[in-house]
Amino acid sequence: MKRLAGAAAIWIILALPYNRSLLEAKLVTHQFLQLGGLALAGYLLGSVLRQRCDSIVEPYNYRGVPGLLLTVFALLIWLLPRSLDASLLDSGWEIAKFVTVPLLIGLPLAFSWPHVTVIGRGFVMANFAAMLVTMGVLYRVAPQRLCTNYLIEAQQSFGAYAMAAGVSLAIGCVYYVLAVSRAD
Amino acid sequence: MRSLVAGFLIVVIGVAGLAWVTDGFRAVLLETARRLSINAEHPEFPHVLVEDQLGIRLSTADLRGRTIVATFMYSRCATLCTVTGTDIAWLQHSMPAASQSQSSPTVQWLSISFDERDDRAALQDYAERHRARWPDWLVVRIPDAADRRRFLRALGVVAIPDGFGGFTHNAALYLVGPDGRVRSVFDIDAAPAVLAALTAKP
Repeated sequence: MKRLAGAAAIWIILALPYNRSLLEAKLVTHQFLQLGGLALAGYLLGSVLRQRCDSIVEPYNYRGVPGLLLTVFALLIWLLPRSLDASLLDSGWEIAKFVTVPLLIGLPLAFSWPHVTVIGRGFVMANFAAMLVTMGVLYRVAPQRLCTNYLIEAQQSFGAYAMAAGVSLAIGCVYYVLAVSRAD
Repeated sequence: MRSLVAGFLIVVIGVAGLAWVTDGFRAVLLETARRLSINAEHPEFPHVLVEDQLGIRLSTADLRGRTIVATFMYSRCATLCTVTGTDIAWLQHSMPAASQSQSSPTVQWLSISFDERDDRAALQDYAERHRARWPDWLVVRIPDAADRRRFLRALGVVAIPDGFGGFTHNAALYLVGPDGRVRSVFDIDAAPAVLAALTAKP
């Protein structure tokens, strides 16, 4: 119940017009706080729903692979500069963002992650870290503006944050494997 | 087996979704998508009331029947807009003499300001700096704020404050046919391509 309330609270806070324009003013907060928060809200919702109906979903979600695929494709679409850009100019895209990021990125992840094998988790994490670093480098070196709604300085600063996030994730994973899970 | 089918379906839908969002894997950026759509659909050049460098009011609909080369700018701009101004000057000089010597010129050069701070004096100043000769080259502003927003939106022009009192915007050259439809959008460094399109006209 707490998680359900948490999911609703996050979603509503992010959807308030003041917070929307605040977070969308910068590329970094748009991607990390808004998209990340929406995905987290979906994850919390999914973790509650999973307890009730995982027995129905699991036969279609062997080792969480189909669910992870859904998360990956939805994430890919929302990481395109075009989609983010469009959500700032077109209310249809904005609504789609607030619906699909929780329901197609966070929710399937919550249904799938507990079923994913250790090797599968490592594969996903390593790829996600590598993707963040690669994306960060591309955003930093791109000579042209990638979004019509953001200045080139904003995309370069986002690139730096994305690289830092990818490196931190990689370090965190290594630490988890060598220190936390080994101690169990 | 059921998971295999589910996974396969998700991949198919996912790839289709990506294809849809990127216009068939052609546009990762909104700017690219905007140009693809204009070059494919040839939208109508929006009708709007403008005021030129002499303070004369006219509608963009009045320009029908002539080919228009239009760019967007704001008079204080020291970077891209100067380039688009230079582009037009270069195009004007490069056009074959025949089309210029006629009593009514076939090409209408049009610089449109999107800055609400630009008044007639600012337009006049811009026109003088770029040697824009009235009426072949009109430097205009859109006095009504709602009109301005509608016009910019219809053509996908986005101008954002650059933090130094100016704007960053997606500059481009628009070629509008005599039928009042946007024929194509060119990069600002593609003035030769615009010239080719203008002179290729029968």
